[in-house]
Amino acid sequence: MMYNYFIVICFLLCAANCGWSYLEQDSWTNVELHHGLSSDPEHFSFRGNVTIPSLNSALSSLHQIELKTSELNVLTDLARQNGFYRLKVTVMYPNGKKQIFLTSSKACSLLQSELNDILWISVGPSGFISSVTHTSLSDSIECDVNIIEHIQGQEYNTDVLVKHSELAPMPDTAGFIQKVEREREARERGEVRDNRGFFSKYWMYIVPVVLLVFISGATNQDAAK
Amino acid sequence: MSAKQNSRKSKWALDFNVSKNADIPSPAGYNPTALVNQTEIVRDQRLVIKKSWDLALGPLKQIPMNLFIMYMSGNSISIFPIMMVGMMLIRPIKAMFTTQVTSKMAEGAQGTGQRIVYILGNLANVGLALYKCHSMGLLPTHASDWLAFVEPQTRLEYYGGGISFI
Amino acid sequence: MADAHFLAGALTSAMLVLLSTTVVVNGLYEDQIKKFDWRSMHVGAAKHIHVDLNHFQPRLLLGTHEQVVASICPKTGEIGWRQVLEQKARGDIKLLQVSGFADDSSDTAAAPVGTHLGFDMLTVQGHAPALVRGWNTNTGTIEWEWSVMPLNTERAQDAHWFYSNSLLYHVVPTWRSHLEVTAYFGTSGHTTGSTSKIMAAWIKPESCLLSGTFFVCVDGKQLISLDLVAKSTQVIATTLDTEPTSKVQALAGLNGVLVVNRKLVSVNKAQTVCDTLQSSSYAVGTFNYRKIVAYGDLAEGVLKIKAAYLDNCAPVPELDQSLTFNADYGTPSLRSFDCKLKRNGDGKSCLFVFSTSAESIVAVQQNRVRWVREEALANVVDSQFIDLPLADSEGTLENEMKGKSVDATGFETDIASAFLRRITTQAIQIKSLFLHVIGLGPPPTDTQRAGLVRDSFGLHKMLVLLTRSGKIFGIDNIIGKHHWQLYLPNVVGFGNDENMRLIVQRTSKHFPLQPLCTIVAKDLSTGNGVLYRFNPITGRAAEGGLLQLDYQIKQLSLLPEAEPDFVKGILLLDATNKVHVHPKHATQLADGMYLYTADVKTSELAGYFVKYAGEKLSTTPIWTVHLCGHNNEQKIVAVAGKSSIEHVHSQGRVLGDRSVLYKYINPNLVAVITQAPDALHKSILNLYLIDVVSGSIVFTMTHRKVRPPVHIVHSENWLAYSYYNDKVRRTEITTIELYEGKTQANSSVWSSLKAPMMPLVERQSYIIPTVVEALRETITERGITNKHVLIGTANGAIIEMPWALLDPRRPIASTTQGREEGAIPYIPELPLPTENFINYNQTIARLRNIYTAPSGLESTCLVVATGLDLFVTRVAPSKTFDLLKEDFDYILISIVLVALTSGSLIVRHLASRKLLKQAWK
Repeated sequence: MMYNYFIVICFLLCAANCGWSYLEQDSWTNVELHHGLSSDPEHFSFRGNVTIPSLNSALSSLHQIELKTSELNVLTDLARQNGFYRLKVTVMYPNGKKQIFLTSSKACSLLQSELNDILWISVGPSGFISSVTHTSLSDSIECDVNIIEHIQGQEYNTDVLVKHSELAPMPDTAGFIQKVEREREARERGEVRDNRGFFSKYWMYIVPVVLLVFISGATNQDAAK
Repeated sequence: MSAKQNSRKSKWALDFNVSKNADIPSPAGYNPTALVNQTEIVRDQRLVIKKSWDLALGPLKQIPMNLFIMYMSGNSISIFPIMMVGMMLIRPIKAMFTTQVTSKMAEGAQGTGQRIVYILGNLANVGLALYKCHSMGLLPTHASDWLAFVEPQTRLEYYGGGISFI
Repeated sequence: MADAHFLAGALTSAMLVLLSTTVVVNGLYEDQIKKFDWRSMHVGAAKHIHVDLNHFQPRLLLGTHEQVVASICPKTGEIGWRQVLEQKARGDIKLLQVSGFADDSSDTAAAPVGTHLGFDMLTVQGHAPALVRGWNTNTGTIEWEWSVMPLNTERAQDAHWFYSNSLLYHVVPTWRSHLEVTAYFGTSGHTTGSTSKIMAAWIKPESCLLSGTFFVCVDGKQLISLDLVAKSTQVIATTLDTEPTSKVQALAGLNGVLVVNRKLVSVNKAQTVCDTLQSSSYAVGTFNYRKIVAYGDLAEGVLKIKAAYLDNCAPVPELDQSLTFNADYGTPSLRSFDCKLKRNGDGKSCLFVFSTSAESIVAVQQNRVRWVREEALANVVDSQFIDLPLADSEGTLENEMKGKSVDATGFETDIASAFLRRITTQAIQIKSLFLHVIGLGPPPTDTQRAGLVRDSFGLHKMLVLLTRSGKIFGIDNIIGKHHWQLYLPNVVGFGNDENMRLIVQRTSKHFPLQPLCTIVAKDLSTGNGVLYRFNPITGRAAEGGLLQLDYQIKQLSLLPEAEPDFVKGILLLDATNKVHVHPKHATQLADGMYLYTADVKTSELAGYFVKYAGEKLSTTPIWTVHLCGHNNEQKIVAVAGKSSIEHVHSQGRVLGDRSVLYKYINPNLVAVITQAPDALHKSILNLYLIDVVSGSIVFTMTHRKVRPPVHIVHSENWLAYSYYNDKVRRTEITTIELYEGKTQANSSVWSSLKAPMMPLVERQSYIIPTVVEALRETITERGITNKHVLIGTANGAIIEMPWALLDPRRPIASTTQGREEGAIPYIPELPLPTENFINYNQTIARLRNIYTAPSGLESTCLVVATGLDLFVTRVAPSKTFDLLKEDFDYILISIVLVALTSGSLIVRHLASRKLLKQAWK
């Protein structure tokens, strides 16, 4: 009897767990990446996708396909003309809504960084994605033609970073009032000292004395002469 | 009578028609037999050397007094500390360049050594003054002192636009 | 000698004591008022005009479209008094009734002796509530007022009012159903009885109007009318010859008379009109004790005024006038006229008042224009300061210097070459001055004769103002004189509340080429773009003048590089995302330009890259940003970029430990503020800082329980914006400053595509105890002067707020660190001392916008504040550090110098003689 109950409870827990994970899967945001590296400038081919379990955490799982040789050639051509590597990003929210973003970076800098790039995702205040930006890791601004000719490897190495919205400051009236109160009490209790330097306190007495000494010294010299 | 007068006259008369190579008579009252003692020369030489060493070590002796002056004048930027620092900077430099003292030392035996010590002492004083400048914050050692020479960055991309009119 | 030394010591100590007692003064001195600022007051385009020359004081009473009631002196056109009423719908003047004293007028307002119940003038404004006010027209004060709150506010919007026999009637139409007429006693506001409801199923919106006591509707070729005060509510139908082609207008002054197709038509059986007259505008008045109707028309630049007696339609020859009318005043329409009452007058005392399509008010008397009031300046949309051309002597200097090809405005000259240049320029100046004195120099041009010559400090400029009605003014910014005006009929601003633009394509820095300005607007009829090029110094069209485009303009930008003739092209993006450049030969310079547009309907931003390939320009979309939120609830409220002529002088901020915090100076950064309603927080404001070249959002911030109006100032590396905090019901200002850190990522070049993505953000909020209407930062040529933020308040005052008070790095707790940096300790409220009001007592009614421009001096910034009034002044945020003070005592100093030098020479001579004499004793 007890054993039966135990099995039933285990089964219920497993079902609940599966259901829970199903709900969790529902809150994943799926970001699909397509890049414009085909011969037709309007056509975007599939590059990979990123699944972000929750926009609050920084975790993400990335799955990208390797760059084909034809695409690499198109990319090299683009880099030679100093053109843009365009990325079309389709974001699918857990509630089913879809949004398409467009982002670009210079093809030359992508090749110079050997396909190491970063995907910045900016998240608005209520959890919606406001922009997706693609940058590459290379530091130099100039396009060095020699480097882009000899690229090895066709694997992308991408970081996905999420930027969140911040809360605006309020004028700090409470803190200010407390500070004024504290200062008033401290002054009443006589704790505040004047801790400036010796000279900054007493210079107005020393300077005339020194002046008088110099003047009398000068007059004495003249008199002696 | 006339011979006596003649001899008296000749005693005081000076004969100017003497050639350059002849011995010049000694001045009146001069006893050529008096001699200088040899040992005193040696003693005087040693005195000269000692005097020159005193001169050479003079700047080094100034250092403790300068330290005390620096401590008293404080680290704020006001007229008195600046006057003190200026004085501490200018005096050793002026002392280094006056030829009177260095030429006096050059006469002695250990002239070069003394000159080096003298110059080092003055440089030490200058170093003290510079340290004082540094603690007052007057030396341009930080990045903020060269900020005025930083050129604004050239702009590579230009943009235009705003709210759409349609 | 001892005395002299003692004296010296005493003098130095006295000087020290004096210096310690000097006090720094921030405000203006009383004798500095109006030295470099002026204000011009306006009333707005006229809606109701009433001229009365027979009153014991001649007056012209005005009710305007800008919700202003004013009295103007008919002789000079100056404002006697002006009352600015409530804004927008509440102040909309529906009726302006002046009490008359003619025998047969039904609008006398005699009152029982000892009461305040009469009125000089009665106005009805607003619709819910409708305010009725009685005025004393001598002083401009309100004698009494009462209000009516209608039950149904939507229908009340179409209500009409009329005054008849000391009763004020309120007519509320319910379209296609009935009319509700309520009568009130004019001065007291009590109703005479119940509301009478008149069945009228024939009334339609957009075709009905009120004429006197008649409610008239146009129905095809018929005019169906109803007398609202008659006992019997009989519908009168009047047939017309043809269908009305233009809008039917009522003729004020007569009961039931309308102007249809330029002819007079009467629906009132008791009132006959002359149907032979043809004109676009009529006005009714009295001449020699007889009622006449006057009419005025503009034909080929000549304005002809004629009149006819109403009783027998005979023409009135004494009032026949014709005069040349400047096209820049717009199309006139006669609104009102009056003549001094005499038995046998000769018509010389008649004043005719016209209102024009360019929002001017023109008064005509005795065949000439008596005065003009430019009321278009009550709605200034854009402004620019244009440098004046060089004087002739300096012009020849420039011609000589051109051969040397040294960039005069570049900042990269070293001391030696600058010194050499200075010597050569002064030699050339002496030579040209000599020639000029002899009389061999070139003759002066028109502008030179008008006094339009650049002064040595660059403070005298031509202020070009573009107004909402399409009229452009060229105003002298020192004395306020109108030098020229231009009128562009049929242009209107763009959609989405975006105004027409005034763009400077070529400045006057390139002698002898003339400066060039362009106005970009939308054509009223076709909706396509319109460009108008003109010379801002002379006010005449240049480079072809008006250019009609065949596409709609979606966005525009000025190209950063200039052609060899120093003209910067304008890049236009049309509705199909194609780009065009004007002038055409500058097309190649648009290569590599980035454009962005913000769509306020969908709250999206899109960026484009312009490429020039194969003689054609093409755009590629490169990024998009969606700010609409989950359910499109967020709407873009404001977009603010940086000023394109701004220079940042200091690249970092010096901290207390003498390290440098480098500023994040991104010239491509744009701030976008969106607003969204929220269930929990009522209203949320979001701030996004977007780099519009790469499309990346650099920073996002949310304000809760906060709502517009929002005003932003974006400059250098900081941003300040004001909003209304709903929770605590006060206006607050938040400032944000961006820093890169202790090192610069790239110290030589800034590329937005490689910029650091996460700058350090300092932010702080302050309370400001007034309502903010406008914000603008001061700007100078090299950016060395401090930046002050000019805050325009709802009271009409402009406050100069130093940036140090708005600094987000103001320390809250520790004071020593702040003192090292130069930051004032934090106080949550911003102080508004009255010395910082740059317009002392010259308040600007309905302040809407502030514009600033750099002047030739680094310390001074020129300011224009616009609203209903116009105020022009100068500010010096770091005091005038590059000028001698104004009352510098040249005479005293030169006298003292000369006296001392001669005194010392004489005394030396005497002293040497005395010594010589003593030596010989």
